Amino acid sequence: MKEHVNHIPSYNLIIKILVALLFFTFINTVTSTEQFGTLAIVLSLVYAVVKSFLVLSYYMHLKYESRFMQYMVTGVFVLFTLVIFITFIDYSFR
Amino acid sequence: MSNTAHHAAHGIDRDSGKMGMWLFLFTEMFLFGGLFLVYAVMRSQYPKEFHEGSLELNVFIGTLNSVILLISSATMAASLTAIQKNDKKMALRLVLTTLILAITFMVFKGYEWNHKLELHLYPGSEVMRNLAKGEIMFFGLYFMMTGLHALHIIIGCTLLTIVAIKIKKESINSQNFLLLENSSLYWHLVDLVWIFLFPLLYLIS
Repeated sequence: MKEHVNHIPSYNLIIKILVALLFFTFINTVTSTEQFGTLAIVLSLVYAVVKSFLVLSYYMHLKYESRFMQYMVTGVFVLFTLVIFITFIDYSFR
Repeated sequence: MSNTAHHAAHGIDRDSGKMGMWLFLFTEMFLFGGLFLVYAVMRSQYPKEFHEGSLELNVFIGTLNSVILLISSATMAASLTAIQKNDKKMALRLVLTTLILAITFMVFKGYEWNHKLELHLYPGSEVMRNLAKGEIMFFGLYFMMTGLHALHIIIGCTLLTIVAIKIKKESINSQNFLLLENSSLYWHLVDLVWIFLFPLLYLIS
């Protein structure tokens, strides 16, 4: 078995990620309260996806995991999005 | 058992242990995903009622709880870094901080739900029955989604308590921290769910 070096995120990096997460939360409240219309939904989802990416990569250590784990999680997320999206389309246009 | 053999065995345990946790997290994703799907469908059918429903929610408390949960995720991630650096004291302190933040989240959630109960806005109440169908759907989903999420927070609190005790007793240490790692994964998933719940229920109107 290949010996893999165990990388861990430093406290510094964890705090930087937290600041980014809080920043997106703040921006989200701003772009929702003012009159952004339908754009508010799109923006909110974009922020949520960016935040999820940060949490998954750094807090859930996917950035430091094996290729296999990274592909597995990405694959399931793609499947998840497709299931939600296709069922939604199916329901809406029936 | 020789030292190398022990490490090799431990390595396999850790990887498969984490894999098992991820598989469980996938089922959790689809559990919440079903509710998100219902939300999307209902929202597209009753946009006006969902707008009016979301105005009833307290954005300030929602935002505060988001901040609390994000900080708790950071302290949990930091505790995993601490245990790997063999800093038991720091790891314990960070897990306890996470636990306190989780309880604070629940206190605010309780306050919010209590306010809704005082207004008789809960599934099955007289007030709720007289609302428009779309609004009934909105509040039904609100209680179901935040309720299921809150249940996960409570389970998380139990898990964090067990982890704290085990760190104290040193059965979780810098060589053997799978339980801390998996609890941390679970806690981050609970955070991820809230990252989507918060804008969908509180912000978009």
